[in-house]
Amino acid sequence: MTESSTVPIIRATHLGKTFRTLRRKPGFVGAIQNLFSTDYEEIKAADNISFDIEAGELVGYIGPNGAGKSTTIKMLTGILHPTAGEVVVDGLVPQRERVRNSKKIGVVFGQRTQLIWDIPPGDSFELMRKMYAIPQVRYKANLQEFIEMLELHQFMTRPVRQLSLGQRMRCELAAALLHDPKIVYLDEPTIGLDVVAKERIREFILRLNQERGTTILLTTHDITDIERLCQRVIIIDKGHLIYDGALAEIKRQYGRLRRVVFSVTDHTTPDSLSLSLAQIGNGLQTQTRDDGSVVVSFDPQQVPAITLTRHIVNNYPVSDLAVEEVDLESIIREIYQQGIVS
Amino acid sequence: MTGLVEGLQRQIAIAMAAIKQELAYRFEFFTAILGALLMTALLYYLWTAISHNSTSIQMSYQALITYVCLGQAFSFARPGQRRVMMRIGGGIRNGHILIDLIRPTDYQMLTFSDTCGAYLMETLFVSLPSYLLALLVFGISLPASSQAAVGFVVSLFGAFFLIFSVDFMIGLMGFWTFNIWGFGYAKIAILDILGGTIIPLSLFPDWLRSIALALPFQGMAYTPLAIYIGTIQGNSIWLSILNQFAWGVGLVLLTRLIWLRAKRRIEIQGG
Repeated sequence: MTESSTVPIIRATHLGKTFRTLRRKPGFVGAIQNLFSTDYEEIKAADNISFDIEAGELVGYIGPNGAGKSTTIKMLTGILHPTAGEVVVDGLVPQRERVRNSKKIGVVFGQRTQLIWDIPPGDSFELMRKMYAIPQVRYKANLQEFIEMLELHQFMTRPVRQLSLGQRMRCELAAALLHDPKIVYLDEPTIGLDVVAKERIREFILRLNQERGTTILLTTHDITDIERLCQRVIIIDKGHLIYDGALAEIKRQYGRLRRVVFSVTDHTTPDSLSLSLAQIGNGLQTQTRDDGSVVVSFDPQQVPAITLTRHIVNNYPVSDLAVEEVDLESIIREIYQQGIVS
Repeated sequence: MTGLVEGLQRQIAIAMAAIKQELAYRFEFFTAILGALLMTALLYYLWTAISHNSTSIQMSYQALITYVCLGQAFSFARPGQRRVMMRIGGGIRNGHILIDLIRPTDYQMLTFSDTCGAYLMETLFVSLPSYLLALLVFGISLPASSQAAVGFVVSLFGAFFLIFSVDFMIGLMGFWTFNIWGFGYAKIAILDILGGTIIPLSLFPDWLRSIALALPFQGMAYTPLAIYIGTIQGNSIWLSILNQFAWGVGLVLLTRLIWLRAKRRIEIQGG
């Protein structure tokens, strides 16, 4: 134990994955040309990604669609072979020792099911018991605990295909965790769920991490998942790692910004507005939204909100005005759109 | 030792899961039996007409009818027998193969156990009822001898072994082409003709028969059927079964090689 605490449980070094796909031409003639085409395109789904995850951490792995999150997870599980770099998970290279690695990990892919579709979840759990050679006592205790925590009892005997998405996802979590994996990869476990179902799953994930000390890597598009669960986030975009650090740090850097949102009744241009606002302080950013309203971001420590709003109200025919705090969702949106500005 | 026991239990559990899955669609068995019987009837009347109007067929009418009807009852070309191809090919197409690949077991072994379970169900609930109905309705013969009966059953295992390897190989083609239905249909045609399901190889012209006998496909239909009706008898029974298993081992090694290459090519579709 003492030795493993100094070595990170997951270490990705300069990880890269390049896919080669055929550049396909549209249309009927194109479809025929495609049969003989050798016009390949290289897509870098992951490029030079390095990070360490310590045992017991719960890390959010986020990024816009197509950023390379799932590709990374598939490399961590040993299914995909990286075209560059290496992963070491708990002392093993998953690609080289896929079977040994798979006994230590639990995986939930929110968009796929690992339960057997046509039969009740209980049968899938039973398969997992044999699949992972889980000792009877452990199996019973875990199953009992998961049934209670996730409230599975009402639908244990119904075929999986008849379960709602929320019910199914709870069963997916149970199926992935019955063998006490040290490391759990959750790939969008809350996708498509309603708020109540999401919250139940979040509580479960949190307890898993806190009570059992399970290391969890979570990908999600739901910012609330991140806020509720993760102290550390890794953000990737277009295959590149763009941020790795504490969630609190992102908030500290960006969260002190506020915004004034207002509408004007004449044709004030954003350029003229920027010029006039520059007179009252630094660091003001002006944008126009599609609905015609103007957004001015400011740092209240540099320009007090009252000074800014007074300036606006006195100089322009304002029809509506509000001061907003910048929430994490907007911060993340900004990072996705513009990258980290540091 | 415990590793071996655990491994065996794991594979049995996989087969059991496949059995439960097959049982979930009870109605499918009836439609499969009906389909098998329709094909049997079609071939029965076809061959009856041919043998009544031909003088050059060197097989007795009864043996011929028994051969083709039995061939339909235990056909590996039946749609229900495509589970391996569906599992691999479909899994590659829709990305579900991901789930099989996070399991602590060899992928080829996993698909083998899964197919064993499904094949057992298919045999019990489709092949055997179709066979019994063929005995009653079309009056086909019982095995030529007790040795033929044993040989037939053993050789069915050999045929299963072969067909699994071929299906697995076709499924793996999905790693290069992403869609394997064409291969699937080609396989059925090859099995029906070169395997000797629809026309007994004994009736082929000499040159074609030599080719068919040199290929592994004969082991998937002709071998068990010819043993049953007594065309292959005595020591030849065990020689032809040996031939089946030799091909089986060869094909397993070949599929293993293809699998090791395919594994590196995995690109999971979607997300």
